[in-house]
Amino acid sequence: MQQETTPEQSELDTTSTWQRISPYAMLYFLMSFLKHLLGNIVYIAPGIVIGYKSLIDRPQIWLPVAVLVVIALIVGAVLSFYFFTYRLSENKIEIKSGVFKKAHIDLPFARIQNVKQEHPWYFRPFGYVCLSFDTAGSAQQEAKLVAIEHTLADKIKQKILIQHKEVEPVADENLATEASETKQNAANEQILNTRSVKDLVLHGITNNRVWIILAGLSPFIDDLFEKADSYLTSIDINVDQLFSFTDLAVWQIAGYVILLFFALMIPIALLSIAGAIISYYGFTLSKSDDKYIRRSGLFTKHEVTMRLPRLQVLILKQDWLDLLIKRTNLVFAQISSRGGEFAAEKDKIMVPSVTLKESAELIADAMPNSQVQSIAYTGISPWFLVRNFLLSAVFILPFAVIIIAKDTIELLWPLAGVFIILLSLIYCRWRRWGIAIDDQFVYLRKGVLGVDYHCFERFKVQQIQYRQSWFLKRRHLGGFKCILASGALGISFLKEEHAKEIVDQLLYSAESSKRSWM
Amino acid sequence: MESFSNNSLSASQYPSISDINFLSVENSYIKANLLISIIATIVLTIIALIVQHFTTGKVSTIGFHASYLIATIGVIATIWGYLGDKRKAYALRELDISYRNGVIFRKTITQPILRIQHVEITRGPIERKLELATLLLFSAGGSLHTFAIPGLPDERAEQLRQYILDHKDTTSAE
Repeated sequence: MQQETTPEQSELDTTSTWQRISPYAMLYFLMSFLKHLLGNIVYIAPGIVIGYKSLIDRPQIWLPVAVLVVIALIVGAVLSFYFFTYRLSENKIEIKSGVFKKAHIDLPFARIQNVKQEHPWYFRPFGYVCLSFDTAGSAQQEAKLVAIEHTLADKIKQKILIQHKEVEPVADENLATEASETKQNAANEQILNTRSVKDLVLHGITNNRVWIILAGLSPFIDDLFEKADSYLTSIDINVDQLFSFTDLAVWQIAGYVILLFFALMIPIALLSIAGAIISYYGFTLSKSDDKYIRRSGLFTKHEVTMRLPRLQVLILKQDWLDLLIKRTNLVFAQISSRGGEFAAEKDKIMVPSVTLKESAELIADAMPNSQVQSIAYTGISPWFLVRNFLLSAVFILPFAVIIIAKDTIELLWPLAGVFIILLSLIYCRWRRWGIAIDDQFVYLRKGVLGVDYHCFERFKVQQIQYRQSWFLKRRHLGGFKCILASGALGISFLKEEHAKEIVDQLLYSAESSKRSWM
Repeated sequence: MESFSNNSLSASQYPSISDINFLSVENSYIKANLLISIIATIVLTIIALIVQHFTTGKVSTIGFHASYLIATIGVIATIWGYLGDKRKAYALRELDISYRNGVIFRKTITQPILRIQHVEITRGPIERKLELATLLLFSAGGSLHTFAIPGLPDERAEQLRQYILDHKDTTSAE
């Protein structure tokens, strides 16, 4: 990075002169044109594929076209640079850009929600950055300063942040905290938790993190299967023969199933461990003032920041394996930019596979009076079992009828097995579901084989729905759903009065509290 | 630390959602919806019958069954929609606004006014004709949980909106 500052840079030029960005910006424009071109190549690809043979033999056709495209790109980049000017004034930034379609963005600092610095790889050697400004409005209003010097970018950022602080000291916490972040150094950042590789291995085993890897591999999966098949054949294992059950005893089939299960589970577990390490390597959760910062990642380091007042729900997630080894995943769900049930995972802070003692310490810090691990939960009505047993019977029945009608009675046994598994899962679900409430918090317990505890402050509810189907009403049962800024949480099959009482209490908390929910 | 001990008192302390008096949505809204459903069912069935007439013998009997199916679904949807509209009701309390709906799966949504981010009134072409409006309330709970009260008389919707805006100003905690 370039550290030296020339005199005219040390003072931000806030006069009304329009300024140009660095000529290196042409590189940026060229790259973005190329990206655009590659993105649109799909449309001309069929033409190229069809005419490939005849085209390649006639350089007199494609050569001029290619040269013209290259020239157009370069001219476009130069013109884009030429027409890109910006002006900084006391409390706003203006950007003029565009060759044919002129754009003039007039952005008051007060409307800027977030300032982001990007370091494209082709700028890194020269110490240039792109500075983009997020606004609360639509994406079209997004403004970007291309190719300015690093030091200048810092100054502009600082200027915007400081002004934000003066105008609205607390209103915009994104910026306020960022400003304080740049002012204070990391010295008063206190580390709350770190995760060792051993923890991550445990996390990989107990929680399936395969998708992290699979997502990256998905384009190659077909190839992988083909390769695996040819490899197995080469060491004289014929997959088709292996799976022809016709002349095998039952115990042999069972043996194969178990073998196959482990043969599948071991690589999956290994992949899952790798996934856990890739996303959580070097995990630290630290606290600076009222702000939690999570940093982790093997290849790209991710950083998620959350101010404590923005914390909405605290979740303790324990899969059944976690229950065995007494670990838990602690999740801090904050206000999601997307909101609702599709709350983005990236907005949440998860502390993977902590011990129960560590989780208690973290909870004590984030939600001091929470009794999430100690309070007695009230279960739900056994009518839940009745309804779901009936529903699963209705689901199973057609299959049973078909089996009997087709006279393949021996298939009834596996069907009975499925039915019993279904019933036991419903039973587990019923055992898990529970609720508790105290003066400050609401606690929900959920899960089937594993168990999740959710805990949130009463006054943070956004909206409450009292839900009661006609069937529940006949049994004097009911449920509710709380809408929080991080998503929705609900429970059903409670006693009618109990559910209503909780709804009333939550409404009272939300309506009587003058505290801000964020 | 606060304990859980005074819970037994609480049930009678808080105003209860059981005591809310709900106001039904406008009759003209229910009637208009019913009329639209009936017309839509008839039109779709007629279209299916016409298609069936011209394709008899050429295509299979699918067209024949389709018209029956469309008619049946249309009738059920019309009745269901009518019953649903009949149950739609809203209520305003000092600090919150509630909306009730659902035929079999009944819901009473209560939105504390303090948590409302944004209020909107929309009027479709038919609503405009009937001088009706839909009130939309947005909270931070996301677009999925925006709640809409349809079938309000114009001036009532406007009143509610104004009440919410005024109320937010006087008690806003932010």
